[in-house]
Amino acid sequence: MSENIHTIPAIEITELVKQYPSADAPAVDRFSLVCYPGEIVGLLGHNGAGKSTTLKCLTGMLPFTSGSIKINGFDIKTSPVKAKFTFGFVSDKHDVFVKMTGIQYVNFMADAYGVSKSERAARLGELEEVFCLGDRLNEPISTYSHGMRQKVCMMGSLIHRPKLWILDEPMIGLDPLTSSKVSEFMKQYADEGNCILFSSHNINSVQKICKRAVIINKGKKIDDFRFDEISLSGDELEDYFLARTSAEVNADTAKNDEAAQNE
Amino acid sequence: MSRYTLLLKKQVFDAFPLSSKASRNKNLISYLLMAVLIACIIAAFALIFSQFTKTYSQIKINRVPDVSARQFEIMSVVYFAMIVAFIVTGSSHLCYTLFENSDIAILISMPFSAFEIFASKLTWLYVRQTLVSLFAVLTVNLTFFISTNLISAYNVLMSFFVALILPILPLSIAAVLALPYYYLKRIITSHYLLNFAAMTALLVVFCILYAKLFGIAENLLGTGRLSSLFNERTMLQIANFAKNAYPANLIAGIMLGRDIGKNIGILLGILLGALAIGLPVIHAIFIKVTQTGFGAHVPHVSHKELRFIRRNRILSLINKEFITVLRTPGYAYMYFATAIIMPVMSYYSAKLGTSLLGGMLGNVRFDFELCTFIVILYATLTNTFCSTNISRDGYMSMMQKTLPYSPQQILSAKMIFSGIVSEASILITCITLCASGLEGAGDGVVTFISASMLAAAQIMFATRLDLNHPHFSRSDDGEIKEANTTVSVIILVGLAVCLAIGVLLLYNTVSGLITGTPSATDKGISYAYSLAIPFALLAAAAAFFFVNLKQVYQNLDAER
Repeated sequence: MSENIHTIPAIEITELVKQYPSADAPAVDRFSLVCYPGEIVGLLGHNGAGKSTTLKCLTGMLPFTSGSIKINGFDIKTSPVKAKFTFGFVSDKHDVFVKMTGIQYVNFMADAYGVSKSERAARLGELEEVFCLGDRLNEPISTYSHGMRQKVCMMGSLIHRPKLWILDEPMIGLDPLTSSKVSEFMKQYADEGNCILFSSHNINSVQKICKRAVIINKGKKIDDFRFDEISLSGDELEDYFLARTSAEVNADTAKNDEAAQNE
Repeated sequence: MSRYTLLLKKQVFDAFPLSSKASRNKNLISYLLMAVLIACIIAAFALIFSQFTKTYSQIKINRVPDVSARQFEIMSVVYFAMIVAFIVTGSSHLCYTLFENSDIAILISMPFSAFEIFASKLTWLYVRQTLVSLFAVLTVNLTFFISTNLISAYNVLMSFFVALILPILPLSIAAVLALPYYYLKRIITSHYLLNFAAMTALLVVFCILYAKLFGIAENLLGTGRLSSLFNERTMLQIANFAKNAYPANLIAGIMLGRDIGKNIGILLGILLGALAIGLPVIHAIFIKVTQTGFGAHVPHVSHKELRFIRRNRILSLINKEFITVLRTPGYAYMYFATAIIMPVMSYYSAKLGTSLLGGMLGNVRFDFELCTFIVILYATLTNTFCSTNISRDGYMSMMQKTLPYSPQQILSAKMIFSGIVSEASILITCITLCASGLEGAGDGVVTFISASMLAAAQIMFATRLDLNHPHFSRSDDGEIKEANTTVSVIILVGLAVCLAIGVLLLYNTVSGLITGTPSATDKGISYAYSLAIPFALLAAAAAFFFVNLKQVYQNLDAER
């Protein structure tokens, strides 16, 4: 990472804490992360580990309790609009205005990011090669399948060529062919100097796309590694992930038992 | 527990889902407000229906009074209307149950037979319709029998009997109509312009009925009698209709104690016949659905060139609101249809009010006070559409937070959109009233400013209230299915404000009359009231809207 020393990080999360009012423990607990342009980072964790909450805080969807978040140099709390101009986000729920047609949605997103008419046409042409929605773009999104909604969400989030692309569980709902095309596209997009952060609970799919992964468990960062550093693959990699997350669980259980005994 | 009972229990849980204590409390408030509104509607209905029954019963044909025949005609027409309403709602419910509710696909993969699923669904539909029937029949019958002094234990018992059997025939007819209804609905809803045209056509019909109703009311107020409207020819047509309106006339006969045994016998025969046709038809459709997924929607894809349109960032947000509302039938009705119909309703109400006050107060003119009261009243009622400004985005309200817009920009776009619809409607209403001579041009301008300020205040208040307590849609099509507490609050607060302003305006003029002839000063005071109060409310609504706005918007969470 030495080559990135003078580069402004695409993501700079410092000691992030998110506590939901109704919960006993924080959903995200003193989580820090720095990602640089050109990187693809996989955010790994089990269901309920805190991946989506972290991404929601990062994108300004949810307010956070403490800590700070900077996106491409802009603080999400103090300069939210400037920060939001620099990233595109795809949620795990394929959230989209279903009453619009695909092309109306893409136009709406392009308007939101101030993309010129000629630029959006050229950009859509490039994205169509990956997502292949074709004439269905003229149909209302309410008639789309889950996978198609995911595709149009991705197209909308990329229409302004964001420096940072954030995706929550992006491969769910995509067919194998599109999934493979999206993976290739992600690599190419990062090679162009953009940063990608995506969440997943599948370590093998993360390994196929990125060189770096961050493991989160119970809201805490428990590992941040490069795949070439651990040189594992397939089942070994999955065992590694399970061992890291269960070690944390065991440590927590032991701590709780000790506390109970002391009481 | 048998599998049939288990499935029936699931239907009940679907209709009344378990909720947290906090949401139960919220629901309780919502139910209370709804109960108050329903009680008001029932009271108004009972008052009008009872008065109508008394007056109609006295109408003579060929100068011969026949109270019993008139009562038979009223009951036959009312039951006929109920049957038609049950056929429409029954078709809609059957259509949803069979083609739109995805739970059949899940249930059929479980160890339930198709017949068990079918029987449980049909039973629940019948129970729902019967509950509505019980409510409607008891309201109509009790009002009718009390106003005609015919109330007896027999009437009450028979009301329960009729309420139980009334939904059977409409459900059987609905069974036959369910499939065509589904196709018609699919064609209309998938073509939003056709949908809007159909809605406008319905509105035109509604307007004609509304005008007729006001004509009757105006005539009743002017002459004190209904006989000039229900002339000999009309009365003979009604009598003929009642004679042939099967099975509504049989029910009317049973309720009025005419040929009870014969009428019950024929009625049961008709119901058995209807069941014999309806049940096999709906069973066959159900089997087809479970086997082939009849309801699956295959869109028709046509080749059209992709259009790239660049808009200003805020205009793009407003356009998004327009598309969302126009293409959602429920919202389109709430927003556009009510706004379109407002000038017509205001015109007839003002005409009626002028005739009523003219009769009571002679030559004294209340044009400005009356028109202002009517315009703000209807504007308040039609403006309730803004109470879903936040909720209608559903989960997308969260995604919007990731877009490069400030909370003020997103909320302003919503309020500007609501404002355009509302202001256009008020403007057309004021022009209509001025053009028809019901109000002077100068007065019309003041009425417009007053109503505009109140509408703006209402939009701000409702939007913020919805932001504080959103009711996010959980359905795929994005339509809010449940009653929104904000709607009830907006209606009740709006009505209270309108009544307060209206009473104040009329009191000012009446007090001027008592002390002598109304002077220019009194008119000036009326102007001041109608401008100062809305202005103060607008200022209060703006203050309410902006307090902690950013923080509340940031805390908006559609998933919790």
